[in-house]
Amino acid sequence: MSAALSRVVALVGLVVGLLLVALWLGGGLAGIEYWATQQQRNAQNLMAGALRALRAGEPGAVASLLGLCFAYGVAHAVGPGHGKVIIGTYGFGAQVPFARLAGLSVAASVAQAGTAVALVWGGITILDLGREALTELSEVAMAQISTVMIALVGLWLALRGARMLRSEAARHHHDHHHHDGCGCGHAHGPTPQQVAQTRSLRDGLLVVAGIAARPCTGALFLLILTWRMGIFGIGMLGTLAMGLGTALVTVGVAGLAVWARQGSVALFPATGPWAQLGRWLPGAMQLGAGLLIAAISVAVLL
Amino acid sequence: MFLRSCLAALMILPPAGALAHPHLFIDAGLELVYDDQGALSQVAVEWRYDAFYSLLIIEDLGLDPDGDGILTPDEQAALQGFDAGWEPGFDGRLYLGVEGRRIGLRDGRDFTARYEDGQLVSRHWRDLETPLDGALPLLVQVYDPEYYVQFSIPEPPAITGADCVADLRMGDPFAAADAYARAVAEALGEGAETSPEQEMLVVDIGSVGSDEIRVRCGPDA
Repeated sequence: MSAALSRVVALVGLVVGLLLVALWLGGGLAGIEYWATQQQRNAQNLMAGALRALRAGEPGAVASLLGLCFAYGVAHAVGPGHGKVIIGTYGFGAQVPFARLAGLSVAASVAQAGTAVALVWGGITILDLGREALTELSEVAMAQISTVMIALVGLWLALRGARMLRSEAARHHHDHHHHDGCGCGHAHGPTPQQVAQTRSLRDGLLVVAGIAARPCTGALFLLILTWRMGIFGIGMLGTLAMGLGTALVTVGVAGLAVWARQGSVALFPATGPWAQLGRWLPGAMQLGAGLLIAAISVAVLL
Repeated sequence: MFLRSCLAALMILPPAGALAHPHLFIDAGLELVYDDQGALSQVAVEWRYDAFYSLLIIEDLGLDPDGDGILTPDEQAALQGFDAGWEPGFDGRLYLGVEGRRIGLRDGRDFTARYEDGQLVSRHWRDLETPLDGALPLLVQVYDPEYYVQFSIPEPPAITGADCVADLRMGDPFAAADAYARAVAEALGEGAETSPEQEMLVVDIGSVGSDEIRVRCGPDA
């Protein structure tokens, strides 16, 4: 009963995930995006008020600024963005546990805040760049670097999916020969499980770097602004708060991705002829998810 | 057939707008000026920037160090023309259309700016390349095709020198998604007779769903 129930729960996850993706691709999330944009606009105007209060010497304004930055991060992340695409597809395609994926989401958001700080600090002190040069650097050069890296993550996932499919095929081949009583002790190729478990540091680094390479323009605005106001420390804290707000949303996406993945595994029973088919699924999902990430990145680049 | 499946594959990718979000919010105000022949000759454009971006510019220019929101005459002078440095070919995000034809505009001139209630308000003029017969039904739009800026038009335009009726239609946030879905359906429906120019499906997401103004002048207006 409990197994059946958890299977139903997992299948609901798949349905919810597929529905959301279909809505997003079909433009059906426009209403939510519009709402999020309005919230971002409000948060942005209130942040200006808090900054002016800081300028006027009201220390209590720091807390309200940080709260607004967090809200800005949440609103901004509810809108479309590269972080959710990559966390969602990676979580759905790869056999990554939720805790690890959530950790990656938070790490990526914090690292993204770090990139913004490094860019503004380095850009102003070392390269002596102005506001326009800084934002352009982020919006053009770094956005492209990030997109290329995301495409690489996609290709890497796809490659590993293909390897899983290949080793599954090899295993099948091997099974048939076993009946001949070939007691050969030769080393086998990796099992699909082994391939799935090569979720090395490399994966995590690629995912985090792909997201972090493109800092949020809103964070850049805040950092340049606080630099000019002589309160860069507060700007850094605010950027971190924005990152954590973003992480709130990406962790949610991570949870949904893992849930949907469990749902697609639950599609296939543990025994019977369909179970054979189910063994191909992890590799196929990884290949498909990887190709989707790569295709979207290429479409954005062109 | 191959063409068609390529097209179908492209459809699966999200519209460009689905990966963009605005960082800057501007309320636009317009004034349409008609000459003594009743032809539209110039447009005054006022941009009211959101408070956050306004503060960024003010701080970046090193103005208002006491933070009281009031600029000294010197600071006022330093602010002038802060958004006048248009790159060559920049269209000023103002679009006039008559019967589906886009009307040519000259570059912005006579930029002025002020700082009020924590918001920067700039103003400039655009001349029409050739004055436009006021009797023709006119469509006015202000939007950013790249959706870096979200423009809104909160008030109908002021009209000088002619008797006109201006109908301001607030943008529909769902229109962009609908337009995309429609374009996809049309492109797929056309199928075999898809011409090469139509292979790439481009939907100007910035314009659909933006606020727009329809203007009619003359005795029957």
